[in-house]
Amino acid sequence: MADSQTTYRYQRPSGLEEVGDGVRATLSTSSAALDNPWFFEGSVQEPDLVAAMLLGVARVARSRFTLSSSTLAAMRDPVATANAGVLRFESFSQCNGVYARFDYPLDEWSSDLQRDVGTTNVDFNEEMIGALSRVGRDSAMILSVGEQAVAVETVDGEVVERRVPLSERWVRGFGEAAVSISDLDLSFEVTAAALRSFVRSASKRPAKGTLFLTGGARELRLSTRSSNGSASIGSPERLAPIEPLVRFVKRAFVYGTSQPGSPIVWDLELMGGTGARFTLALSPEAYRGFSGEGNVLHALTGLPDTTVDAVRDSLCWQPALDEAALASALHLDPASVRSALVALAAAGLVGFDVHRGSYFHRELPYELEDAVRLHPRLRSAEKTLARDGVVRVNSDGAVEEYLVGNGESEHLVRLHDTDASCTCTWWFRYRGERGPCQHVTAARLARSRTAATEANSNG
Amino acid sequence: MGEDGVASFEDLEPILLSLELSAAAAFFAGLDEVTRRKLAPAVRKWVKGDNARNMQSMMDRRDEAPNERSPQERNQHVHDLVAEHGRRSDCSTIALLATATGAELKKRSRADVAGLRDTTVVALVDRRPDWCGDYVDHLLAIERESSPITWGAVRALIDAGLIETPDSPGLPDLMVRSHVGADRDSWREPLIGRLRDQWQITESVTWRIFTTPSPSLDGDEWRAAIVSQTETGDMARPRVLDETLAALRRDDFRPKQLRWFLALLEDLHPTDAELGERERALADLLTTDLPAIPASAIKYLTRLGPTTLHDPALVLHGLSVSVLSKTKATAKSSLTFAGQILAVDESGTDGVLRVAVAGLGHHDAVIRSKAVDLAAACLEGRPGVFDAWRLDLSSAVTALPATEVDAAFARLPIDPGANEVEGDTDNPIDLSDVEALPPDERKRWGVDDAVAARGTNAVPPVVRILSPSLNPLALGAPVEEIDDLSELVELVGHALENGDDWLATERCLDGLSRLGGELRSLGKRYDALVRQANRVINRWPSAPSRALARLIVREATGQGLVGRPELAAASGLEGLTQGRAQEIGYRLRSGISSPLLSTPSHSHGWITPDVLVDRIAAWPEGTPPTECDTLCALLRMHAFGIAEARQKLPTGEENSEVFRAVAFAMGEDVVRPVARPALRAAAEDTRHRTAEPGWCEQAASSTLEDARKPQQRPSGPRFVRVEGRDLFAEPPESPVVPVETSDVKAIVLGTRTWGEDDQRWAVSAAPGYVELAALPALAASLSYGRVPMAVALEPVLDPDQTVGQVFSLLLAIALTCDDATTQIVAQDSYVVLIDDGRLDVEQTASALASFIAAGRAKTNRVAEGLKIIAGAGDLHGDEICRMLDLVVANLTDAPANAHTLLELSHELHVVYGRTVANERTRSNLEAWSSGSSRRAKAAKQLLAVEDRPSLQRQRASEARLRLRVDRARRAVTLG
Repeated sequence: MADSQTTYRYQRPSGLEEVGDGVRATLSTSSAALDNPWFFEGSVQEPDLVAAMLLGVARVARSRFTLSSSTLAAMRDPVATANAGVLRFESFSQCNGVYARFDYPLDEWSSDLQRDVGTTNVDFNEEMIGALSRVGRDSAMILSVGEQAVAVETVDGEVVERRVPLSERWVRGFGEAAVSISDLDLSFEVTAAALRSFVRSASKRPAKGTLFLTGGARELRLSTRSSNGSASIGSPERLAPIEPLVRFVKRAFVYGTSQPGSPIVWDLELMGGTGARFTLALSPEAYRGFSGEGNVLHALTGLPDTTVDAVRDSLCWQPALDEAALASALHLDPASVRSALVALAAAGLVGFDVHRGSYFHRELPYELEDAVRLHPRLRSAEKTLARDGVVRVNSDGAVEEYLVGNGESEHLVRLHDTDASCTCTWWFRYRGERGPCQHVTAARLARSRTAATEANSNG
Repeated sequence: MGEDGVASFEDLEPILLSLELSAAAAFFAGLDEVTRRKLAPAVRKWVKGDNARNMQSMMDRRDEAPNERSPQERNQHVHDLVAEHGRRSDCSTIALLATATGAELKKRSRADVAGLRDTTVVALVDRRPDWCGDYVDHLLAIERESSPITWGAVRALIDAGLIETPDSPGLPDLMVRSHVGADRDSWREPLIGRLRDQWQITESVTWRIFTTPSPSLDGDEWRAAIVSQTETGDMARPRVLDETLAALRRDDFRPKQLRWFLALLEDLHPTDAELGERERALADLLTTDLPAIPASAIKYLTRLGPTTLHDPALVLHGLSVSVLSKTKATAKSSLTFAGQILAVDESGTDGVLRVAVAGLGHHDAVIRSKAVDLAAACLEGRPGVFDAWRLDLSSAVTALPATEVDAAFARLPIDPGANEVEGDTDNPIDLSDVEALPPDERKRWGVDDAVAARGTNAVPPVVRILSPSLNPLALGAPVEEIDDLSELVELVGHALENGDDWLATERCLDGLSRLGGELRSLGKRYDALVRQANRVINRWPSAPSRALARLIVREATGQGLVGRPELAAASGLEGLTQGRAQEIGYRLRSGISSPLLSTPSHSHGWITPDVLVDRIAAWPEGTPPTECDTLCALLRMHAFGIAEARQKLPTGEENSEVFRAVAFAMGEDVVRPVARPALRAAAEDTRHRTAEPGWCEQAASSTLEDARKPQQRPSGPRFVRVEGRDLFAEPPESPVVPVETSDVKAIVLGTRTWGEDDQRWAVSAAPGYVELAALPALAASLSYGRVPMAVALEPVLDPDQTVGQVFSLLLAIALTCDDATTQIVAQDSYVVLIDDGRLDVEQTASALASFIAAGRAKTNRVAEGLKIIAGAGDLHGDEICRMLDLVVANLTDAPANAHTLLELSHELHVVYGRTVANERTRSNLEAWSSGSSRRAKAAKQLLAVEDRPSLQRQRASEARLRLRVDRARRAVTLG
């Protein structure tokens, strides 16, 4: 299915202008619903660092690591989120297998600088990229994220409407990336020198197949064998976009698991006193975009809507969502809150920060109901349910068996408490590693709806 | 015109077929939009059909009577065809541009886009649509080798007042490549002349070259043109300089484009005054990635001199980045310039020290040494500075390689105590636990030798483990058979999709042999499985997957052999497996359900003799086991428990050929010999397995013999001499060798392993010949250089696999090959071999030295690989240290870049406190130590290392003992 898109319009292009001794970087946004004309405006500390990181996010958005051009998204502009106290810029590579985020804490500064909270696309045009490349260490830099009064620009006749589509692949990617990295553990803390050496060698000669990162703080190496403390990494040459950023890195934290086919996250602690961080997440393989992983489907098929709605109502631009506090406030168990957050992630409404170990609020122009439309497997499962293609054939305590068919063929689905299996090709190929197949999804939906119906009739 | 005076497609078609571009353009000239739109559907349809006709016609006519023409005539013929193709395509494009809407044109694919060329743009100039600019932007954004728009077309549209100069990022690149190189629009006029002729347009685009990624920017013509324009004043020189320096900071420009700007900067010959005004910009260049750029910036800053700097702190910050450059020269000049600043500017000491500390982390020893010198210069007479930098310096110095730490301490006022390694060995082994082991196991696994070597400088002799075919530890985990139909269906589905899981496929074949008759009862679920199997067949699966998929499909469709399959028809292991599947199908159609004899009983592919006897006993009465199945079973039979199993062999089966083969393989003296040569060969081979098969060594030595003759690399297929016979070692060229006429080694080497899944399975199908199966990879790598060897090396990772000379050679060549994945597998293999005590240091060193001496292995790549392995642990470093001594001992002449090996060896000798004890090594080092080369210096340093206590060596000794104890315990546990 073709990837449908939501179109943003920018009132004017982003740009960089000379202001006295320094420069003003104005990042134009698409949001028209702000109380203030900008999220943020103020001079930044470490201007060369900020410029380099913004370029890093933009570079990822313009990279692709697979040869297929048919699925390329037109989306090249990062998404900016102003949480309370943190400014975040996020992007995906064109192949959707690399996710980048630059977090810039505002805590250290005057709170006056932050004018609003929200999420928006940021215009990163060629001129802006060129201009950011010129920002040097001693350039005083004022960063404005937002849009000045539209009317003024209109009077000047300078309004530029550049249509920028927000790809649904990005929205799916935001959800899948958040969920798949939320289970990762800290594997390594490495020095900047070790990071530099590894990124250089990994970019120079790409290695294929199932690989694992192993070693220690001073030296990282690739291995084809999983071992205690190693972290699975696919297509490590995708680290290339961070090579120009390494000079700003104080130390790096690698999050992953030794389970083959897991994503990996590189959390870079940056120099300077701002507490800024750069995060790069790699999907399990270059050919596997985050958007196709399907790990959010579990949460979308088994949770009552009321729980998700309750958690959603609690979101108010927190930079870090405290799951325990939410559970306590909403009188829910922590597991339900976690599942609800996963469901919200599916619509891009929350992201995950490995450094803080928590979700953060983000708003995209999608609602939770859109999640069904966004996920092809969920759509197929709904269709199967609609034509009564799911029949429960056996229920043996812990295991329920369903025959799920489309008329021509049928597959046996077994649902355990948390596990499942199916006899379709998708399942045989991935064994749930890339989320449940459409048959398991349909069976789960059938089970949860039956349970809801029974609960309603009982009381 | 039609009868009604309105243009019709009937009028247009002959014009299009005439290939007259001017006639086509004239046809549309002055037509109103309504008429154009009426023609559009017919034009679209015609163009679609004509594209196909055009291409086919050209292909058909390309080879017309080629033999009757001279080469020149043939070239002219092809040239004419291409020109005709171009005219035809242009005619179609004119028709499209003249009739389609902008939206319709933009929908066309990249390959079929209606391009705007000098010859076709007339259609738009005449039509004057308002979407012209939008369409030009669309064409400029298309990434393709040949651009769908020309500079001439853009100019024509601008001149006609249809568009402004497009601001698309693709325009500068279009202008660049339209004026130089293969796409240039004129070969006669010089570039500068053409630029000036159209300067009102080219001026703004030329400035955009500085700010837009332009992959075509290359060569000196454009540089000369820009320099010329600055000389005439058409381009302001200060702005050109500023834009050039800004362009050099762009990290989205490709290296080629950046180098072009560097060359432009050189060509501009900036004066000192101009450079001085741009000190900040030059300082910013120090932090860029392409090493040539900071190198150039340092050159210019050096020319200005440290005394003229306005902002030394900014420059020093840049130098602290450039000192870590990949290129040694850039790093070195960074340190030198920082030193010059120090000499003239006391206030810059902090900044200089930052550069020095950063330099201590450089990958090159020379740079680190210079960084120590610079740090020492900073601290001399400045105790206050040292106090502020004490922590940073200490941590940087302690992170230096062991060989450099002492020198650094000698130069810097840091307390060496900070570098002393504290602590003891981790969890020292309790000797009472060791003594509790049975003495014969202690001796067998070299535990006593390791205990004796504990605490000394000695290294115990390497432990030889049993050949896997005799070693019960090599069997792997027991394999469970499939219980019911449901499990069978799930596993078949899994095996079909996961060709690398050969064990699942083998279990499925067994499951189908026993339960396959009931499959049809599953109805639609079975139908889904058959569809899946059909899909698998169509995507070139591995041999066992293909056999499984075909069996499923044939059982469903009733197709298959009518008669019993013949062993004689099979070739290689894949032929045997296909034969096994056919045998199953034959039995199922005959209503016979039986277990397969050849299904592995253990996860490494082996079948234990007792299991085989049980399977024979369970075979349906009156139906003898089939031949392909039996032959495969014999190839997999392990020696463990053979005597006991022989006692259980059923009696009264002597008339069965396959039974006699099994009995003979188990050591029975059968009265009637086995008649089928292949069965007899397999039975004899299984019966006479020995601990040290001679063929491996022979094959390796013949291969090595060739490797030592780099001048005589064969261009054709390589033969390997095994037991007096030449066997092919390259499957793609090897002929089909029928199993019936082969011996076991020929079956293994005659197996066509097309993909990785095939290779993995082939190893499991003849687990006694794992090393032989790796021979083709070795031979092919030596013949062709770049051959992925990763899968062939995988068996080495098995802790119970012996590593003979074939694997030793393969590992050595893999460690230094071009393929990154293979290198990693080789590194992993060495790490594992050291981890479990299987590494024969002498054998490995000999293999490495052979390839280095023959020029087959690059010395620096050997050093790079060994360094990674040495870093894996204390024991690994110690073993690599010993190995390097033996590599040097085996080299009579010093190879190129020998210093890389010697420097690594020196570092390890220092860390492990070992002097170079081997006499041949010392003698070679002494011979190499004359002169002042880096090699000579490293050789002298290495010779000077003396024995000293070392915690790392102590830990290595403990690790060596621990792994032997673990192996002995494991053997005791398994009985």
